[in-house]
Amino acid sequence: MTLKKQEIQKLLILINRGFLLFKSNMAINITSIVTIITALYIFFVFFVLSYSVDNFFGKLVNVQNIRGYITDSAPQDKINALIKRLSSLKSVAEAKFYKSKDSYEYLRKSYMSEKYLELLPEEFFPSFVEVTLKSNYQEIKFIKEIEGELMKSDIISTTSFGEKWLLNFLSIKVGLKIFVMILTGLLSISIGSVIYNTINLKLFKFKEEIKIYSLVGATRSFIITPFVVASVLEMTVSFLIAFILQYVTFYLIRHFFLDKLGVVFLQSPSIYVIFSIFFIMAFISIIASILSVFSFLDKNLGAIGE
Amino acid sequence: MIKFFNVTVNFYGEKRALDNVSFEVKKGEFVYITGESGAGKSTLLRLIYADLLPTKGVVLVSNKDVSHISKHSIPYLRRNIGVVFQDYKLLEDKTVYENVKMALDIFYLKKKSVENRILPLLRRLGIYSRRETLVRKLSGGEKQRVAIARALINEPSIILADEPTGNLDKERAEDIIELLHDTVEMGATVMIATHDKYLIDKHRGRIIELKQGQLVNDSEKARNTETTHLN
Ligand SMILES: Nc1ncnc2c1ncn2[C@@H]1O[C@H](COP(=O)(O)OP(=O)(O)O)[C@@H](O)[C@H]1O
Ligand SMILES: [Mg+2]
Repeated sequence: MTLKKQEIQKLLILINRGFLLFKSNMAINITSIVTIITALYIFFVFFVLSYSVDNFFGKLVNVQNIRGYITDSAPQDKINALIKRLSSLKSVAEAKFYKSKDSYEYLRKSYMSEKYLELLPEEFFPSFVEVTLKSNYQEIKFIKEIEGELMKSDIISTTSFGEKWLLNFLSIKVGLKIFVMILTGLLSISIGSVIYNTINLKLFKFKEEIKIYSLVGATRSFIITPFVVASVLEMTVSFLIAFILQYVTFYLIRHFFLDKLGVVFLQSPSIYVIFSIFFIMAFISIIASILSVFSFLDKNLGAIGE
Repeated sequence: MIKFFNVTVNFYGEKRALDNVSFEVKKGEFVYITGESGAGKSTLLRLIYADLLPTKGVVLVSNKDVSHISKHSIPYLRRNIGVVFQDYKLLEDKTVYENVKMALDIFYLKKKSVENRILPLLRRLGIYSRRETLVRKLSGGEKQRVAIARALINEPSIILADEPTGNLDKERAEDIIELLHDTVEMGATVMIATHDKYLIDKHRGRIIELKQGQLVNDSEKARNTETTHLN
């Protein structure tokens, strides 16, 4: 979209009117700014917690491979077919078959001292298939997918992967995620309605002015834009304050507690995440203010000369 | 300039605020809409600046059908119509200048050209010295001059006045009618709704008389009845 210079000038004038509108209504603004700050602050706290938990367990639960132990009687062609099928999965980097002998070598290399292993007969070592995941698929859900795939095969007796106990933490992770999602939804609704009502209050204050503008031929965008600008400003101010507050809160917690304990747990979301949240909130305030002005104009402006 | 074809307005289905009204007003005419309170004068004027759409019939303004006008087009219609009311519809806490300026705000003009348009008009209307005064401190006559200034600032081709003298004493009222009449000389079409017979006698013009929503009389000459002053 290419705006003409004149259009940009008009827009600047309307934005300026929005600033004036914002400044002239501090009493109404402060109530709603404080409300929005509170909501955003609570949101930020839980968001950062959830984000940190996600990162923390994400690293722990990160598993690279899974093994499927093969039954003694399995014929080689079935094993080959399984390997082929596993290799074709999008999450799989490599699927490899280890005979009992390989298995012995494998263990020798990775876990135990050679001397100890030499005491055991080769037949004691099971043959297995080991599936290694591509680096960007190293998550529980893909491991689970492959586990399912392995168990479908009748030549696999059991499977094993990394630290199965970590799965318990996954439920905390998922729980927090759902919680934050619900919180985000509620937050959006409450901020939307706070903005809607604030704009409505302002509109009633400016009812006469809007009527006069409408009488002398102001377009809807002339009337609406300043209110939208004012609500985005309100949102921005609230967002900045809430962000600074949460930053200070977590800084203090880190500084006085966690660092002393040597725990690196709290992690601030990246600047992109912060900006995304801001844009979503700005979008909500734009929509809320447009809806507010439209419904006001339709309800209250049909009759200038009654 | 303005044409009404069988225009009817029903407010709650039953009662007719306007009943099958037809007339035509030509460019440069000076027209009184008269009739008792409740006859439908305000309703008739509101149809012209699209503050209301007719239930039936067609209203043409400058050859445009405003009986089916879209929301988007209303502002452009109104830029060509200046409207004055009995209760002035001014912002009391703003100055005279600021009130008149509102009608220019929508054109995004430069400060200097806004000034160049407003100040001569305020001078012409005799309120130049009051330009920085808050409207609430003005007399009724002065307020109505401010409202007229706001209506005239964009040099509209149509000027509508709904009981413009209703709150004024005799002399002020005459002055206001005089000012409105002056605009006819400048090419405007003027329609004044009033039930003030005294004023109608004072200034000649076409008279459209309404009674319970019906057009009962449409005559060119000033009426010669008793000069009672209803107000
Ligand atoms: N918004 C409205 N809702 C219902 N009835 C109305 C409305 N406006 C006007 N009326 C009715 O329409 C009739 C004409 O009103 P109006 O045009 O205001 O008369 P006038 O201006 O001549 O006094 C009156 O009976 C009035 O009660
Ligand atoms: Mg009336």
